[in-house]
Amino acid sequence: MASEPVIRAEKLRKIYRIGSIDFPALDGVDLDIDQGEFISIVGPSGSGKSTLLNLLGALDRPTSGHVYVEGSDLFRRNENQLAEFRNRKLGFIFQAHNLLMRTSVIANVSLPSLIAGDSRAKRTKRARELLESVGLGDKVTRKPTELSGGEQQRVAVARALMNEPLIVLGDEPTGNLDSKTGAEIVSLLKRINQERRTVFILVTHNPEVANETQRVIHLRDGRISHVERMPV
Amino acid sequence: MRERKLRAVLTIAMVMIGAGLMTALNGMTTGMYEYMGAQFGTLGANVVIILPGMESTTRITEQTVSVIRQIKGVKSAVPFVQQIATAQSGGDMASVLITGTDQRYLKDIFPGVEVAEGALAAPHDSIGLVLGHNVAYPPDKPTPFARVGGVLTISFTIVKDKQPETVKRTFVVRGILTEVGTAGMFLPVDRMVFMSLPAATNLFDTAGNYSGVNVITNGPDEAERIASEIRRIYGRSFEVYTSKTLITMIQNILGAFSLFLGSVASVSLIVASVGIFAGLYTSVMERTREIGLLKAIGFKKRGILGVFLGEATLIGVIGGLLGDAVGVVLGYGMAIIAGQVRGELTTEMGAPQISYVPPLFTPENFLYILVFSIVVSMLAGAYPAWRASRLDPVVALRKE
Repeated sequence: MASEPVIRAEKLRKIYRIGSIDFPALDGVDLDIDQGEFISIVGPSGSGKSTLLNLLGALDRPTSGHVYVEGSDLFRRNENQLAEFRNRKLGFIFQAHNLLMRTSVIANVSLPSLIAGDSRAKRTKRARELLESVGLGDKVTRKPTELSGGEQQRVAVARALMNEPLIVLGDEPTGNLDSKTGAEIVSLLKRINQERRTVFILVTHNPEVANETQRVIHLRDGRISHVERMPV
Repeated sequence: MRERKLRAVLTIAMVMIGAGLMTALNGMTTGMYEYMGAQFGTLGANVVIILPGMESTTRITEQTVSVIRQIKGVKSAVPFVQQIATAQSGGDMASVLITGTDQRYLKDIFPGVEVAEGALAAPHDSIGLVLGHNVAYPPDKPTPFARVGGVLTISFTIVKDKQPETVKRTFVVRGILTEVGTAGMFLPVDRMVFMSLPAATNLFDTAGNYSGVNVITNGPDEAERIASEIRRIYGRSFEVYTSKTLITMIQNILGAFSLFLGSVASVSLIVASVGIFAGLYTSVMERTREIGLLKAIGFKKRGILGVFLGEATLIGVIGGLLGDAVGVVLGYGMAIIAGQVRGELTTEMGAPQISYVPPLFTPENFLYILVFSIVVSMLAGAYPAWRASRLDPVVALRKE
């Protein structure tokens, strides 16, 4: 029996209205993502990559179509329920400006669990473990401003994992890094994916990053043009 | 970063200035209130004062006095004659308020006044004077103006047949009174010169008219009752005062004044609220991306609202507390300056000196101002906070 996909997108459309002109950013996307997948979404700018990521990340609502996560229709939820969903089931890594710069590294990492209402002891313990595992065990009390770009992204990775999410979404997570540091971040994500079976969906325009993923979704003009399966 | 810190400090400073001004002005008016209340210690609470009506030509005469004496509960009705005149002792001159009255009742009318030196003048003493403390010992001069047993010349000017004429008489100082101090502001006993009633009517040639009557009663309630009885008999022909009506009158004036000052101060806090609004609004705009991030990791609208409202509240709390503290310092400073200005003015007018009235700060005032600061800050922060909570995470995250 084929297991149910973790995420299923059905006929996903997102139309932006600019003046009186409708601009379809996504024009009917169907996509299944299975447990433990490590995938990338690529395509030229304006192809709808970010729009798709925003919809999968419950940050935005589609004009029509559905996203099912573990079988339940995501956009039947109200805004507070979506916020709760993002908090408990998702992790986000953005290209830059991921962190609260005036707040310590450990507080940044703990934030999702603070929102979830976990005890301070639990938060601190888990945040320390995660920072340890991304190689920042010695920098927990630093401010993000004192860290390098690569280190800041590691903090963002640790934060994304804080509430043991089902899915981690990365929007150009290596976009602001040099290629060596970028590669380190990607291999960190891969390691986590293998260890924890967390789904990773990365939007990127960097073929080196895409090449590291199991499946590459190519978008063009708001549709999936083709899907590449990478050799494992 | 640095700009943000500076802005926070400036916003807090705005609240602080508003709250500080409120605290200071409140403190000053409360101090003044308290002070005014103390003034009426000089006028016995059981005394009713009758003065000629402001819009009436009815004179107070011996007949009036005998009518009043017949009112039930009146212990005594003591008429007096009052006029400003110049006193001369050796080469020194001073402007004094001459009061001619039966001095045996002095203690009833001005409780706490004692004879410090010499004695009171007898009811028919035609040349005896009793000096208020500051007349004998002017506070701004090193040497006494007059001594017991010394001679004083009293002079004043009258107009006779359209010609000004100066009347001059010589008197002997019989006694000097104890100092009443600032408490004698409305009845400036310290600056008065007392003589017997016949001596004053004779000197000023009052043709049987009195300046007023002090009615002594058995107690404050009796004073009120008798005051209304007198009002009933004479209508608006005479002005009838008790210490209570005087207090009410002064407090009404002060109340209006403090309301005015209070509204000036609250305006400053409301101006500060515009600053808080601008500060928080800029902060929301600046932190758009951060807000987007917080929303992405699961902050609900309410949470974001809470963060920004919390910030506004904190500004109100810190600004209010600092304002309370600064207001105390400001209040004392303003009281000293106000005292100096008032001192100069009153000296020029020859009125009694009220130099320094200390401000009075009550816990209720501090609390009220703190709460007011917090409420104003929260109201000013409400819209920016609401805007922040409504930010679309997608749009917010797009902003670099």
